[in-house]
Amino acid sequence: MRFMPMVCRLLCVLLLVHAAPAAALNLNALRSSIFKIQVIADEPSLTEPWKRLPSAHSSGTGFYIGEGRILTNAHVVANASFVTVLRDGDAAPIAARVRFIAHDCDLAVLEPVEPEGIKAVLKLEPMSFGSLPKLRSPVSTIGFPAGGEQLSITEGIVSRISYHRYIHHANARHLLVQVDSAINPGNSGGPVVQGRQVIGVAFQSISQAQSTGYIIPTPVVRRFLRDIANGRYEGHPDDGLTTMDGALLNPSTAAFYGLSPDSGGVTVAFVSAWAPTATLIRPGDILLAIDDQPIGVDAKVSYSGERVDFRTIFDLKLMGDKVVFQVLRDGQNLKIEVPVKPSLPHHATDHIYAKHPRYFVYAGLVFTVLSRNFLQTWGDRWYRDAPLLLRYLESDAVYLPDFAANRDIIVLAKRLPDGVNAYVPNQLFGVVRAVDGKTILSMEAFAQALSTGTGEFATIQFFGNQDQIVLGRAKVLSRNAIINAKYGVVPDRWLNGASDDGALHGTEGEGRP
Amino acid sequence: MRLWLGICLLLFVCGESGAFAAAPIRYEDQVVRLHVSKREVDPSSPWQSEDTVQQEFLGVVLPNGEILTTANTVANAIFIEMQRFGSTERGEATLVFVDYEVNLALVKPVATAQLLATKAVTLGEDIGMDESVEIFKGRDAYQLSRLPASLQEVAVIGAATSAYGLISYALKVQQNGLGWSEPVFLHGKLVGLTTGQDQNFVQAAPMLLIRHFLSDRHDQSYRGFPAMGVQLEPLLSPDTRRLIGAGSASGGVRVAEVFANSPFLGKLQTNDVVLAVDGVAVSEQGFVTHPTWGKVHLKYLLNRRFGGDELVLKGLRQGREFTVQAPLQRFDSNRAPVVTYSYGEPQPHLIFAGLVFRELSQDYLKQWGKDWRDIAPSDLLFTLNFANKVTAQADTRRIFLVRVLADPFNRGYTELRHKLVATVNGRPIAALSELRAALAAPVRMNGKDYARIQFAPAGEEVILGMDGLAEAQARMARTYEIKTAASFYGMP
Repeated sequence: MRFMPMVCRLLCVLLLVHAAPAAALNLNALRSSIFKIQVIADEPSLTEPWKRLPSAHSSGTGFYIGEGRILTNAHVVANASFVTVLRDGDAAPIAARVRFIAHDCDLAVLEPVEPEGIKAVLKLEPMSFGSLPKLRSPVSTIGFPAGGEQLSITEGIVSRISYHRYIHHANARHLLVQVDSAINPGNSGGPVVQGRQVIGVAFQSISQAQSTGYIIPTPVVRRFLRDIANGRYEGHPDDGLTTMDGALLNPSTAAFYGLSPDSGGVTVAFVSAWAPTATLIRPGDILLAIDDQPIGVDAKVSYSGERVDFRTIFDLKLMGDKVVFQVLRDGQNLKIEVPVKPSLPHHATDHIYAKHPRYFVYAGLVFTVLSRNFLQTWGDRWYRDAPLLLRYLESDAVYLPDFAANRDIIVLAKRLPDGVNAYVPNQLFGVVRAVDGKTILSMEAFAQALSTGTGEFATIQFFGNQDQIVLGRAKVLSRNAIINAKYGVVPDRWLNGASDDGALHGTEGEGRP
Repeated sequence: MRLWLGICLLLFVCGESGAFAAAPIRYEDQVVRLHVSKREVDPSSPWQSEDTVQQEFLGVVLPNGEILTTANTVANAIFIEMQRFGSTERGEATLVFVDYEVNLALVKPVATAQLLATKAVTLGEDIGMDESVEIFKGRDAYQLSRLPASLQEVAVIGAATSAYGLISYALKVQQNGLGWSEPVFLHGKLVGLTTGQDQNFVQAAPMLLIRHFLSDRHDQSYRGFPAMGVQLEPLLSPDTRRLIGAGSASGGVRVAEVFANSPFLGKLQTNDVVLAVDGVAVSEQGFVTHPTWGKVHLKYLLNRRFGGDELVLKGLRQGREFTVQAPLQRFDSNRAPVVTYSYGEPQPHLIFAGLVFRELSQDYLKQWGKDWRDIAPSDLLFTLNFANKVTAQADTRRIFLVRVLADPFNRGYTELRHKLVATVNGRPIAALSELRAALAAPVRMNGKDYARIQFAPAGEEVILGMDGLAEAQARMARTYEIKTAASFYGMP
């Protein structure tokens, strides 16, 4: 739930890149199933969110998994406006489209667009998936690192299996495997194999550590493929639990709960109100087991012969599944069944991959939602250069009663200068709390309060700041269209949710304003 | 009484000035070097000090033999030595008086013989914009360097040693390494004392502050520099003016908040407009017009006043003018829950079972260096910036867990650090004394006593048994060489 340390933020990089030659290797057995993926992407502007930034070219790797589908990373094709796939050794690329994209676990499925392409792909032999690799077992990473034109293979050893952050999404954590091989930019989306079996998908590395790469292991990949089996990606569930890992190592703490020092278990500190665990699990509960797997005092369970965070069990469930927690509450040992379901709408300060961030422009004041992308407009050192309030809310808003019910955290991102807003107080990057004194919880409510309010003045109050914005409604009404025309603001609002990137539900291209 | 002393001081200063007029002024006789040994409390181990450092400042000799310098000179000082220019002798000096809010201090030599070869400085007046002055910096042990400077700006800025808003000179100068209490002279008279430097601009305390400080000091009871306890915001927006009924008035600033300790609490309210302070009209941006300096922030008016003075405000509430009057209170930077400074004072702290608790302070956050406002832990910075409102209780503090002294007793919690304390044994905690009292009322469970310490905002909880606490703490005192038994909970 909390941020990874700053250093890790600096170090983790995705493996998407733009070109460089690689040594040709004898990969005849696999090469026909592996593709270089070339992408033209248009990211939305975060400060003028009705616009898109100039197109960027990039490339990654993908591999054939059967049924005319190519698997790659979500970050390879995020915000893609044009995608081609090129099989190693082929001359002509095939136009493709994003059929499914899962930003939370950084996976995507591509399909050829044209009949000839579909036909060609269907002839290929799909790569098959293996299981979670053993620690210290050798692996081979195959791809087009640094944008090279020929396949490259690098050898490595599995060095760690853990439940860790996937940086494409910003805050999501899933099972991952660390390998000590040189996974380079361009390897993104490429298969990592043992023998002929895929045991993971290369996806991120540590920029300042040589020969340290991360792969998405097959339990996460298989979960993704099961999730999209019904034609719709619903995503990983969020347990919403903040736990006090290690507390029950302390004998007196264990004794307080009537436990012996070797009983295991973790204490629950906080349960997010929007999570499927809300009301079922409570702060102060001791989680002793999940799906009959004992949880250690280190919050880990045995999984495929390794010890990993107990959240792995919950995280790999599909919507509609159930998780059974064994809980110690008030001295009583309970079995609590938690139905796995999507979280209720709530502010999520992850990366936004929608066609546009949610926004609303009123009187030339651009309001948008707080996201990791928005914070990154302050550059690589956003975690110290972005305004403190925004940085803090990104990680801790979930715990603050003032923001517990918020669907969005709304930020004044920009002022488009005009006479109507010439004298508003400087609230740039302020966080909206209320309109006309009424608390605002979502961008929809914000837009509605300003658009439909009837008082002579619209007033906007901000968190932690007593200097409100006051605007004469009649004057704003007379200037809104003029300002929007002058600055090219079309439309003046975008209130669709995160699912409006189309590809998330296999409907690429929908949802543009 | 104060007026009479002020007149006496003025006459004395004029007399001195006359004596100097005949002969060339030798500034080296009026300025002394202050070699200061400083030692700060270790922020993470508040029972011990950090390494001692030596710094050098300047001071000027006053007619009564005291040395005027900045409070920055004496902050965290454990030993002060005074040295005349041209002399190799260093004599011990002691602190006479300091006001960290205004960043000024007085020291005096222990042996009056040290003053024999010195001459008192002549106090000058405030200077005008673009006026040329000289900043005197020690060149070596014998001479001062004269650095030409000119007054570019007069603005209210935060004091280097406190949170108080002070009127300050910005002097343009082509020299680095200034701001160590160097005196500023004009025509042989002291017109300022440097307090800091930002590239080519040196900040200096003007005579307005120095005279205020000295005259107040010569009274029997120091009344200090006051504040209104009111947050005022510019009132430029015509829409805001109309909304709060100030559309037809000219000038004035909006009352955004009246703090719990303000003398104007109950007399002013949010959205009142302050039109004039002390009979001086206030602009929409919060400026008043000074006869010499021009546009200056209205806080400057408070720099002229003393704690206890009556302040008269002319206001506007929903279109109706009113006048309100209240006695000002001496400003105290440490009145807020997050303490601003504690120079030379012991850092209040409490060690319970190896968990080190202390009051959150800016001193603590400053250990992250000059960029501390950006890179200190965000939970603590958020508390400083957004959860630091003055409350009715003067001793309200934010208590936090600094770190844990690892020991078998606190196994499982040794990685915890920088956690704000919410409750202890079910009681909300807003002072170290409350923490101590709450620990004395343990929770009973399964026939034993426990301490339950809960942190904000995520609700993490530490639960530790009270059995064996004394032995464990004695062991920690030995392991970590903590010689102050009083640092520990429950130890004599």
